Formats: sequence, structure tokens, C-alpha cells
Amino acid sequence: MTSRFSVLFTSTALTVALGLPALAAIQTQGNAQGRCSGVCAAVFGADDLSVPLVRVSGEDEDDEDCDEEEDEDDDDACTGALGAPAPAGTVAPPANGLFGNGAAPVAVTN
Amino acid sequence: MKSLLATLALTTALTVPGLAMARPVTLTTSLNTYGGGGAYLALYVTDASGAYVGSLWMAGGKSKYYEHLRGWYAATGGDPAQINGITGASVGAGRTLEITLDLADALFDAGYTLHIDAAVEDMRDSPNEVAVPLTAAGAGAPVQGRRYIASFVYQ
Repeated sequence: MTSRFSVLFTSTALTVALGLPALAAIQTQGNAQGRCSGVCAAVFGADDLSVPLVRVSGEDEDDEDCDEEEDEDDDDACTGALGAPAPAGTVAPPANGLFGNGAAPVAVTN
Repeated sequence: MKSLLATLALTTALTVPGLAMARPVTLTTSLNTYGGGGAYLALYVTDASGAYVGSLWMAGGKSKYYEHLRGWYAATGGDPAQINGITGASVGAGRTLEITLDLADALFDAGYTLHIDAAVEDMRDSPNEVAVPLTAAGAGAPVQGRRYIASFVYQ
């Protein structure tokens, strides 16, 4: 008799432990879709979508820095499609087999 | 005492080859007074078969102009990773750019060629402005460029 109670208790505990999280998830989704409609449902259901968010902006000021007509300063870096390289002295030269491990590059303009 | 000497000998033996494998090389590029804005210069190396090996220096920091350095751009696709840490300012007309680099000894007398592409805004692009074999004998011998470079020398 005692063993039957213990088996019953164990199976109930397991069912509760596994079932409660699943039940909670179902209820959350049900609340979002059942009580809301339109925008509300879209907002609550957004987490289920795999489509990335699209940011809409009127103007991108960074693009103006890369405009050829307005740009007069040759020394400024411009982030193009491939990005701007790191200036000398900020990172090590590329590991292309041409450089030793000695002194960092030094450039002087006279 | 004996182990100390052994350790010293071992560390020295390991250090000396490392020092001997590279040396400081100065690349001096003098520009003509061509009457334009700052010149973009790409210095890069090809092997004996003409294949791109790597870049040594990029004078000019704006990647949008790199396509005008046509030889370098064709070889690299304008990849900024090729010139990270070896990019400086563009060079004005009539000025001289002096770059000192720690270069591998294996570069010399092994069939490598140093190329310089040049480009100036609103002026003609000049790919392969200079192409000079990297040899010990060629060190110190000035080479004339085709359009914007008055002379180039490495030593």
C-alpha cells in the first residue's frame, strides 16, 4: 500500500514539474492572441517571427561624410562598403608574411 | 651555475634566429609637383609568378578612393584587412613619404617585386607607377615613376 502511494506521488510530482511550464507557455500565447487583435497581437506575437526588425530612418548623416562632392579632408577615414582600414599604430600590421616581429611601422612625410 | 649557463645559451640560440629573420627597411617615395591634391599610394608585393602576396603600405585613409589604385584593388578587392595597421595619410604633391618597416629577410633576392599604384583626385589613375624587384643589390638605387612619383628607393 505504501509503495503504491509512493509511485502515485512520484508520478504526480513528475507530471506537475513537466506540465506546469508547458501550460504556462500555452496560456501566455493564448492571452496574446485571444485578448488582442491587430497591432496588439502583432506586438505580442513578434517574438515568434523570424523576420528581422527593419529600422526606418529619414536621413543617415554618416553617408554625408562619404559624399565625394562635399568631402575636402583627405585624411579622414570614410566607412565605405568594405569599411575603413585601421590606421598605422593602432593595430599590428597584417600577418601576410612580409613583416617581421620587430618595430612597428613608422611613416614620415617631408 | 651550469644549468644557468645552459639556459642562457638556449635562450640566446632561440632569440638570434628571430632577430636575423627580419630587418628595418626604409622606403622613400618622392612625388613630382604635379599640381593636384594629395596622392593615394598603394605599396604591395607580388611573387615571381605575379601573384599578389601582401601589402606594405597604404597612403590615404578613405576606402572609397581605393578602387582608383587599380592594380592593388584588382588583387585585393579593396579588402581593408590587407592594410590594417599600415595605413597613413595621403601624400601631397612635391612631398616625400619615408616609411620604415620591419621586413622579412625572405623578401629579398627571392623573386618578389614591389609595386606602387598611385591615384590623385580628378587626375589620371596610375597603376603600377613603380615596379621594382626586391634584391639586396637594388637597395639604394633610385627608380623613377611613370607619372606622379619622381623617385622611389628602398634601403
